[in-house]
Amino acid sequence: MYDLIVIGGGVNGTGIARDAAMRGYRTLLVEKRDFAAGSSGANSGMIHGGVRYLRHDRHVTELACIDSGYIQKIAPHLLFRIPFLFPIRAKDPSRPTTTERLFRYAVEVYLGTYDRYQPAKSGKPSVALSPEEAYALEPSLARDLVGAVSFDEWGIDPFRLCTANALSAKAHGADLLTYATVVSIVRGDGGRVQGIVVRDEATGEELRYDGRVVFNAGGPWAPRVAALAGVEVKLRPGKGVHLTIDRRVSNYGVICQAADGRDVFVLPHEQTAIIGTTDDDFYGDPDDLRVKEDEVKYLWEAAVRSLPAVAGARVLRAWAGIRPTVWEYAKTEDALSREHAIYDHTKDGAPGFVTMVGGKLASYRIMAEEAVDEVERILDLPHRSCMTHLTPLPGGEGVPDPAELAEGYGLSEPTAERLIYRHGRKAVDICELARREPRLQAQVCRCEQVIAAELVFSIRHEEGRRLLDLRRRTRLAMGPCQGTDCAAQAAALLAREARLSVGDYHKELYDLMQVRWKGNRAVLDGDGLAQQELSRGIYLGAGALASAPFEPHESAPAYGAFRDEAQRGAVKATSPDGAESRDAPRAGEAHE
Amino acid sequence: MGYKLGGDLYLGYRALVAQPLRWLFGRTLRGKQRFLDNYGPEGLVPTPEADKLMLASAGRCISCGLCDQLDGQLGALARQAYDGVSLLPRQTARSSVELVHARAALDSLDPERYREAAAVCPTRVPLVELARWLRDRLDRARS
Amino acid sequence: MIGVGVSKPIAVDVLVIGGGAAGAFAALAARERGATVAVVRRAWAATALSSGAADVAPDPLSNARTPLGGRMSVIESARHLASRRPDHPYAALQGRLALLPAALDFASRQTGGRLSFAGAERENHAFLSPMGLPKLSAGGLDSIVAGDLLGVSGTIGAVGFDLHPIVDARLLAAAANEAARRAGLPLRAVPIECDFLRRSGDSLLRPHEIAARIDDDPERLVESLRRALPIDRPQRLLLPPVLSRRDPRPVLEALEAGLGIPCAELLAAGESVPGVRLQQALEARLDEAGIELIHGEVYAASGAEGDATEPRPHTVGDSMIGIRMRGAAPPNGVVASDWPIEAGAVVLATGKFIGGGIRREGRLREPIFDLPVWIGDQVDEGSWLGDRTAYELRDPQPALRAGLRIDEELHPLLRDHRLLSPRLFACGDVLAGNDPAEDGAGIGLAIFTGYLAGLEAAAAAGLSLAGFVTAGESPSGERTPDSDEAEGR
Repeated sequence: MYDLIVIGGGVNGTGIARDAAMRGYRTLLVEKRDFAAGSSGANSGMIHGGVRYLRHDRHVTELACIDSGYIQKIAPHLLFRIPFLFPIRAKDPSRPTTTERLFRYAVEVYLGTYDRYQPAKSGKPSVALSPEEAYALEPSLARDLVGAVSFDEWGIDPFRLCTANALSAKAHGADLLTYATVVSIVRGDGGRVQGIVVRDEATGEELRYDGRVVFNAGGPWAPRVAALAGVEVKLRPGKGVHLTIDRRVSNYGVICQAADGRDVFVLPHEQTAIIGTTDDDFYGDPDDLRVKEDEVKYLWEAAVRSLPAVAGARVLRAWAGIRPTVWEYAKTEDALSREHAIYDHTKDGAPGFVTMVGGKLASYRIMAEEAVDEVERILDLPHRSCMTHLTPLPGGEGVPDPAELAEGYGLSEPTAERLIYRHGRKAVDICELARREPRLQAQVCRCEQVIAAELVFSIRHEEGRRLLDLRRRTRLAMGPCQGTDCAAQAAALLAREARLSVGDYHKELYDLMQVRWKGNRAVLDGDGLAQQELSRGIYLGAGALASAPFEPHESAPAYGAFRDEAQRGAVKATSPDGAESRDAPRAGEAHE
Repeated sequence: MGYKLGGDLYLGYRALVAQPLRWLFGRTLRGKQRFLDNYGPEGLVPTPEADKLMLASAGRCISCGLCDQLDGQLGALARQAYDGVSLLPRQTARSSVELVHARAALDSLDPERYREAAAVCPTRVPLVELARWLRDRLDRARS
Repeated sequence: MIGVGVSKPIAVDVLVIGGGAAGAFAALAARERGATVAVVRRAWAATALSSGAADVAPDPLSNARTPLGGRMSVIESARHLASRRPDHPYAALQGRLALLPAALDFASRQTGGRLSFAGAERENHAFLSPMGLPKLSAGGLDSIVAGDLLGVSGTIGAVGFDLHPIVDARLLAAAANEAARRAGLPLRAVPIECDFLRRSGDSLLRPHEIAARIDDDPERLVESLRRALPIDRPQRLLLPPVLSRRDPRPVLEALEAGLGIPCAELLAAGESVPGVRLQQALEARLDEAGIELIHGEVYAASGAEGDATEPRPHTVGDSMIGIRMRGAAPPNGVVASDWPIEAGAVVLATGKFIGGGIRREGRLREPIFDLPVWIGDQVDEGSWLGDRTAYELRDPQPALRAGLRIDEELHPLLRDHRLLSPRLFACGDVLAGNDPAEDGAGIGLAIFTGYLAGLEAAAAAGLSLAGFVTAGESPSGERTPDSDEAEGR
């Protein structure tokens, strides 16, 4: 019997699981695919300080900045600074109108006010710039400015953030189940929610888990999960599309203006740049997100208008995510609050069932804290204090020096640097693994500097089960060549480590290349076409991969699963009510 | 609605009283140099137009590896520092922040020796110029 | 050989633009007909990146359940492709597919057997792909063709290096067994992991570096394999495609002499060493045949000297004029600035996206002559390629088949199906309707269309056509390459 079962492996679900586990509650986290496989991995990757709330509620800004500071403390390796430029444009920059001058002053005041909260997140104070100064700092800016003001934000790898939270939860005793789809919610007397039945996507087997509270953190899928409990949860889902450029075109984030006057960002992200985002109501299936021509053109035009030099850059892919925004009517997409809401469904006749929707990546930690407080209240438990802002995430205990690590383990320094960025102190463990098994020193992904040992470490210690999971954990195949050079080798490593069948090895490889193609086809141009020709020549031509006998699908089941402790608590479910037999399979038994 | 009005009043106060006072006491930051003082030490330096052109040229690389097959310096330089010329467009020329970690490779390579490799590059990445530019970019970052 | 920079105007019977398989065989075919030929190319491309196989057409009945298909002959398979795909180059050349055997023979002969084919009347070979799947192909480099799964029974050894990830021998053997089971082949594969790469840092070697190590000391590889062989000795060994940087034949001989087992190379995936070998073999052959290989880029001048009314290259008398070339910086340092070219005929063998024969900057273009680029039966006007591709990777992707349409004489067509010039021909990957990866017509298509384009170009340049139209007959020109080698150059 778990105290808490969390459904959803996004930043909310993993954050809640970590918080609950750290407070000592028996916690189970179930996710139908992988950590950060949905919205949490498809955003701009920013831990911002809530600058947009300054006007409506500056207390929110203050809390956001304090929390950003906490995240920096618990995962110092994962954050990177992004200086932003807010350009102030004029119709005729040589003769700015009074309104344009006033707007410039207003921005200075606004961002000057934001400066008050910057120290909480080690942010630098804003700087007001003349047009000439702005052009000197970002020479690609279109020449229509009357000034610019800088402000300071932090970027993060959202995949690593979710993984780190999940792993921390596990280290504190939580059980993690990925590729486990909730198929029903078990109800008892008075409609009380008693547990869930999940389908193990690797085997098709259905298993029941009992819990005192079932917490729905399904993001865009939250309404579907709620429907399993007979409860209606309403979202106002918004689709957001981003483009990825193969390298940092600038070290500064620039706020660009789109055709409809909305703000679109061009911002550096790790070794790439991101253009985003669109925001449109979305009524489709969150499992089938496709990017459309107008979305690509909208973003591209906004970026090129404000930063004409971007036009020569190589766009690698377009990708989409869903904002699980709280339901509101008669508001434009942009005006919707990014605030979150927690619903105790006792009043809906489903006591023991709770849903959280809305919110944003940056405030995940404080939201998780609130969520677990709510669980304590529902269960009428004495309050235990939250420690998630004080205890480092795995790897955050101290950041090794890249030069020393490179020297000590015979690694290239840039590789050591990226390894440390992703894993913090755990980079040392990965290097030790490579030392023990020299074949794992091989460089697998040259674009994102992934060595074989990092992949194997992710398989052994980070719940990486599919090749696509390794992509999220390590940025494998996320660089300029988009898997052309590394996918085959990475798939072979996974196949060996996880003892995959030949068919599953082919499917893993195919599915990774399919996901790359999905993002790439929306932006095919220039040398991207040559990249495709090469990649197809290797995998479909020489490799004959398309002739392998499998049914491809990106979100299809996982293979070569390594289920462990979690399943010991499970009840095999023969019916949605669950049979009472306690013959749950042990590690290794369920799979061959 | 109540606190929205409160927020606007506060910002009004900031605009009419606090900001002029900050300015009077020299607490507002203005100018390029202040910006560079903020970010330069962390390697977050501007990217001039010439740099952007070179970045776009490097972005033509499709990681085919042909240049590495004609790279005489591969094997001659320490493997830890240098894994073939294709690293320059694929890796080294992606972020100026991490450039400092590639100094060992950049200091030891000879750009002139990439002529043969550049001549076979299908997408015409200017490897010789790219190598020179990367060294220059590193020098600029170090100074 | 990287090619030389040009330092003087060029005047040849046939100018070939592009130095991959299509361009090389076009040049050699024209040369064999006695034409003076020059090849201008800007870089290496798809041929140098190829796996070592030379696909002509896949067996039409091959699928996941029956990987060997209907065991149809290569030429039947090509005819099948032509009949079911009206946009495919084979469809435009349907009337000339009878020349396919001659083209493949020509390629074998010109490369001194380095390229080897079962013969167009025989069924495709079945190679083991780098991902352990059966790959049907008409031929390829001889070291690879020796690994045809149809030619072995009993046990094959899948060789890997125990410290290098280039091939995971265990995975490959398991995959080969699975492939053999599906295909009903009487084969069993066993993994063999040898200790040839055992020194510290060996796991970091790139494929061509391993090849260089083997070149340096083939005997060490023999010794290493001897130690690794199981007692139950396999009938054939499949080794990673890194047996030599230049020519694997001596290494294969050493292996076979030392181990007493026939050996072959696997197909290459990325960082292909066999691809570069093929490229270099073709360049060596061009040199031997007296064909100048020039490193540079051809472009169409806007009108001939002083002729503002002709914005495009055009034909005057016996020559196609209005094209010029710009020397790229070649490794020998000689940079030619800008030279006019006069040629009796021009063959466009510029490849697709890797080769640069087709580019897209907002819309698809053919950069030299600005010929219309077709997707299916439409000229592309800058459509969003998301609409011209399928969501599923392995489904047909019309946008990736974009290219030039040709008539039966291999003249590229203008929008209204007229010709830009009767002296302009196109061959290889630049042609529309073929996606080498998905359609299974790669180097083989380049050989076939290159061969035909070379013959057509020689004819258009005013040279002999004797024996040209009959299938199977070896074309013999009035002048042989040896008699007028490097004439006038």
